[in-house]
Amino acid sequence: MVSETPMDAAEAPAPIVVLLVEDAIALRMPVAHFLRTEGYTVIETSSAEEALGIIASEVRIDLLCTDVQMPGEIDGDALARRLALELPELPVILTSGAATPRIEAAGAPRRFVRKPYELDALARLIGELVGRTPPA
Amino acid sequence: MTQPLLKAIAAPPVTVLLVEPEVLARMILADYLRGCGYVVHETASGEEGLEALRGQMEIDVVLAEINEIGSMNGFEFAHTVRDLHPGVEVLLTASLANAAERCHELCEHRIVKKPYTPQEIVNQINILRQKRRGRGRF
Repeated sequence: MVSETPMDAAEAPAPIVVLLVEDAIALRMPVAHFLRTEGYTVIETSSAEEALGIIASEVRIDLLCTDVQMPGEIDGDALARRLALELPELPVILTSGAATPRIEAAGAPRRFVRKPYELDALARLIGELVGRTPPA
Repeated sequence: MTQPLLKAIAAPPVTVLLVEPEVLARMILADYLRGCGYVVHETASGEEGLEALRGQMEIDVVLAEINEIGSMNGFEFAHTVRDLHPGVEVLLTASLANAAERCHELCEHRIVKKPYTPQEIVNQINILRQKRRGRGRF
């Protein structure tokens, strides 16, 4: 899963690692499952705080896909802005059911995807932003 | 050919629902089980776990710890699962080491096995925890 760990040191080519942040399990579970069947490695987090814990543990991430509206102190937009400081090159996909969510994050390639979205369209967008598709 | 191998060949892919509040432990345990050929869904609390079980995806085995998992503990969660979903097998774990052992045991039944011991799984989680502690909060 994570390239800098002993458990996966021998794996090649490098998987595309998506950090998925979504508090709604009814959505997170099928999205994560679909992306895995497409060949992506998905790290699931249910809050921005959990996502920050993953980043702090220095796990390699290729793309952040986060819901904008989430419970807790940090919403998806604030998470993206924090990561823009830590990982300025990290592509970001922000998702929301709102038509015009408040998005202040700027920097690396970022797209807004309105819910509900097609799973295969999301998978294609991830490949586009990362610049490659998952290894066959 | 050994009996477990025969069993694994005959068995369809098994889906595991992992209920683990700590994200690093959840990530590594789920990754380990996927490496053994399981389909794994991840939930951070008992509430999420019960919602996942109500969903469309079939789940064969639930792995949850006995301590607090959201607003309930593992025993309460297991009791509810057995009441509402009697066909689902529930495995409770008493500690991270115990969870790693359970995952290792589950992998013994699969064709694809990872060669890591339960202790190596725990070590892997502890390495990430240490890095996280070192960085603190952003």
